[in-house]
Amino acid sequence: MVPGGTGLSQLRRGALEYCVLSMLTARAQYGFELVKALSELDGLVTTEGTIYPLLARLRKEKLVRTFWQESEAGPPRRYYELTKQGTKALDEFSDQWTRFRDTVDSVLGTEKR
Amino acid sequence: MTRRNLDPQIRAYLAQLRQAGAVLPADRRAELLEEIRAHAEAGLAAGEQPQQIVSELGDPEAVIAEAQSGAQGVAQFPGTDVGVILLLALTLVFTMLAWLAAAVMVLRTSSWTIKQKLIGVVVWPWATYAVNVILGGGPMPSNATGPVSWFYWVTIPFGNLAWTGAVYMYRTHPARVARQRAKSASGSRLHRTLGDSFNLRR
Repeated sequence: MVPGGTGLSQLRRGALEYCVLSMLTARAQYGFELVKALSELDGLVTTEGTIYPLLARLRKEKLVRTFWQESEAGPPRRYYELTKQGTKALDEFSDQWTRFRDTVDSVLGTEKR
Repeated sequence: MTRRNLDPQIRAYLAQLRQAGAVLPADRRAELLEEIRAHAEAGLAAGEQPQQIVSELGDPEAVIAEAQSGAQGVAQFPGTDVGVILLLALTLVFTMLAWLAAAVMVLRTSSWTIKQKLIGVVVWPWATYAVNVILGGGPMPSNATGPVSWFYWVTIPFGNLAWTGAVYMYRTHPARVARQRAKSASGSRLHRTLGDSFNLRR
């Protein structure tokens, strides 16, 4: 593992949670489409399989809830949607993230890159 | 759903995941496997290659590790333990209170003989002791093992405390003391002694 790799993966892991919540703000999504949408984003998801335990955790924390819906083809799908609590957690994170990002940028001198 | 027709590579991946997931609670593992399988099936339906699906899902160990890290602090229910302990404590307290009340009533009644009273009051602690000896594996507390041992330690001292307390409270009741003084002029020495302790019918 490269030096700093752990720190970055921790940072990614922490931020990923809120990226998942953010992807659900527009509409509820089922596992596969949510995972595919996330893995299209550069450098956010390295192992798609780990999204599912993350979703289970978010549900346990009541930030998302699930429901089943029939699909046109194949078995019914488990959909994930944001709860009120999830919306609130996302808003709070977004505020703090902006400040955090600016601080880190100013310390590292990476604002103008 | 289409389990039998599932691609061998995906089946092998799910088997690995199931094996690695042995550390998880059964319901969490079952749900995770079901989700991953649904994901793989959706991938196949979308025209992805099994090899690609499996490699993008990633190392089964990593998936399980993520599930484990989530299980800590969230899946634990410390409240349950507290509830059980509280319930046990309450049961114990109410058992003691009930016994104490029963002992006082037995000792105060005038319709029981001294023998009946002694049996009535003493039987409970000693029956408990006997149960402890049988289930706990010996006459001494140090021999007691398992779930019975704590019961052993608690019931004997508390039972005796309640018994002694009941007798003491009864003996020192002012009206009773005066009545017994008047009565104890007659009868045997044993009867006088016991008569002071219990409401003995002569």
